[in-house]
Amino acid sequence: MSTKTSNKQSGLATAYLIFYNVVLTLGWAFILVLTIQTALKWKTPKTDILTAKSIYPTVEFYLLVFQTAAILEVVHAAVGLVRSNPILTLFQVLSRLIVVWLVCYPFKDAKNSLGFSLVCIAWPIAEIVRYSYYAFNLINFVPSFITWCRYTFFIILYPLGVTGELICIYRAFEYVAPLNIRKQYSYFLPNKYNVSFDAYYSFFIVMLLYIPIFPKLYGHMLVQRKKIVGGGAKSEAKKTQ
Amino acid sequence: MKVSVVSRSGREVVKGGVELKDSAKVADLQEAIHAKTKKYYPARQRLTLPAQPGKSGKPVVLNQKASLSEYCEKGSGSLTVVFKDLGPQVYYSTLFFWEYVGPLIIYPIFYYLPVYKYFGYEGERVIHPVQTYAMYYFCFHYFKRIMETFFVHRFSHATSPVSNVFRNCAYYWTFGAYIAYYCNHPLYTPVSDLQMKIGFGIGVVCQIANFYCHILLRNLRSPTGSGGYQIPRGFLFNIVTCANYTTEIYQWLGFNIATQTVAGYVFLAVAAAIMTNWALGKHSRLRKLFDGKDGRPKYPRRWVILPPFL
Ligand SMILES: NC(=O)c1ccc[n+]([C@@H]2O[C@H](COP(=O)([O-])OP(=O)(O)OC[C@H]3O[C@@H](n4cnc5c(N)ncnc54)[C@H](OP(=O)(O)O)[C@@H]3O)[C@@H](O)[C@H]2O)c1
Repeated sequence: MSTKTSNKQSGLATAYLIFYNVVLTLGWAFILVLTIQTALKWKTPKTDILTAKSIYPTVEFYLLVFQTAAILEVVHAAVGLVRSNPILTLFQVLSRLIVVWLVCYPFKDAKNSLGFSLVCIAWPIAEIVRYSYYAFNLINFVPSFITWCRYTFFIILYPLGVTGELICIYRAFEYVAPLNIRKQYSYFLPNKYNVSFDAYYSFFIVMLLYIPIFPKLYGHMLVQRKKIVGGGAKSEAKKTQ
Repeated sequence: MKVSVVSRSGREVVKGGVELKDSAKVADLQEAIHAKTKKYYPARQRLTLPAQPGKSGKPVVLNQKASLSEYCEKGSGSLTVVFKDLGPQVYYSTLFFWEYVGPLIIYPIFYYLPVYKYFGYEGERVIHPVQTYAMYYFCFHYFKRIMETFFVHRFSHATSPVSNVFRNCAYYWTFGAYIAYYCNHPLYTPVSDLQMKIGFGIGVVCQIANFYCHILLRNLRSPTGSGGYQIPRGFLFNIVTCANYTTEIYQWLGFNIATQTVAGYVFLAVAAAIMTNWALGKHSRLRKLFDGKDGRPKYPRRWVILPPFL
């Protein structure tokens, strides 16, 4: 997920990237505030968290807008504004977009689940830290606290978010299982171009893909963490480079 | 001569270094490292010279066939090399074999066995002629690739990291299954007879051309695989640098014209993207290698992979 900015970059590009990262930091902060506000109004929190009560309608618009805006990150990588790999960035953004647009947006069972509560906690915190880290990076002034958050929070947030995403997808998967419902969301053979789309199997495949991808990204972040904030608890004293 | 072998972080890989004859080659050093470490056989080792402070750029990789003294500073009887473990290795032919044998087995399974029962399609299945031809075409293609791997190609690198086996097999096997699923489906819709003939016609011609390209590439090297990179000449190579990729792409296009599945076109797009990426690398490497200076030939003007676009 490293989005290091390239060295040779015009002032305009830097200004734009700072603007982009600040806007997204604020956007996700707003989503976090809305989520917490809603949760504080819960009368029976223990059961309400299981259905993410009232969260979806409150955050929907902002979640759709700010998550979709992440497509720009792929564009930034593709046109060389930032040095990350556009294909990897695309896959990371794609999984989030699937959860937002193809799972939670159309399916009640997904948005009213514990999974959605987890997503609305894990994503905003992770994104606030990530975008503010990039923004600080662009002005070449990263408070060490932010760096530490960037390379520590993910240890909990990442599995939490992925669990939430998987619960949401699983709920949608269950919902579309009966053939009469599946038909509404699928496109079947026969047709001239011999192409079909089956919502049920597609959700299944998406869930399967988490198995190889999650450990890989998590491992990558752990390695980054070791490099940047130093190893485990023992070497808390940072190596100055 | 005394050689110290260190890791990138400066730690000694072989305690006390290695003592070798002054006439020793890099290969001898690799053998010596293997003998001392047991675990790191020569193909696993990547040896480079230590980065010079102040100089940036890629480190110098030691050539296995060169003699060690070439890398020594004049007069000094010692040398320090940086060791990197490339991880467990497999032969290129093993890697390619496993990549290609997957589709070769998976495709006929969909054709011959009643798999569609498990996807909820009961009842008799009518097999269209195009589905039979497609099965033979597809299997022939991967059979050809396996044969070429063992009897035609002369690879410059003997081995590749084991991790590539899993990645590449995942790629070829899933795409093989994905295409086979649609091409053999009981509800498959065939194209017109004429379109089928045109498609397979293009495909067969391109497979033969692809085979001929591989023969031309083979003749650029001696049977031991030495000879490095040469300017490929003759036939389509006079027009395109990576004529073997060009014919490979058109060969899949022919298959897709005949079978008309979106799955096949998705594979074509992905394969073309991968090959284009490699072709750009090969083209620029050949241009750099044959720059026309100091008596070296100049690389002729050619398309990279897909004339008239690239
Ligand atoms: N469908 C797909 O996704 C896909 C993708 C890739 C390939 N393919 C197929 O598989 C075939 C083999 O692929 P490949 O990537 O191994 O092919 P390749 O690298 O282009 O060449 C095949 C052989 O020729 C050698 N060679 C290439 N250029 C040379 C030069 N200028 N001078 C001397 N020797 C040279 C190579 O040596 P080195 O060992 O030094 O490279 C290799 O042994 C392709 O032609 C294509 O038909 C399909």
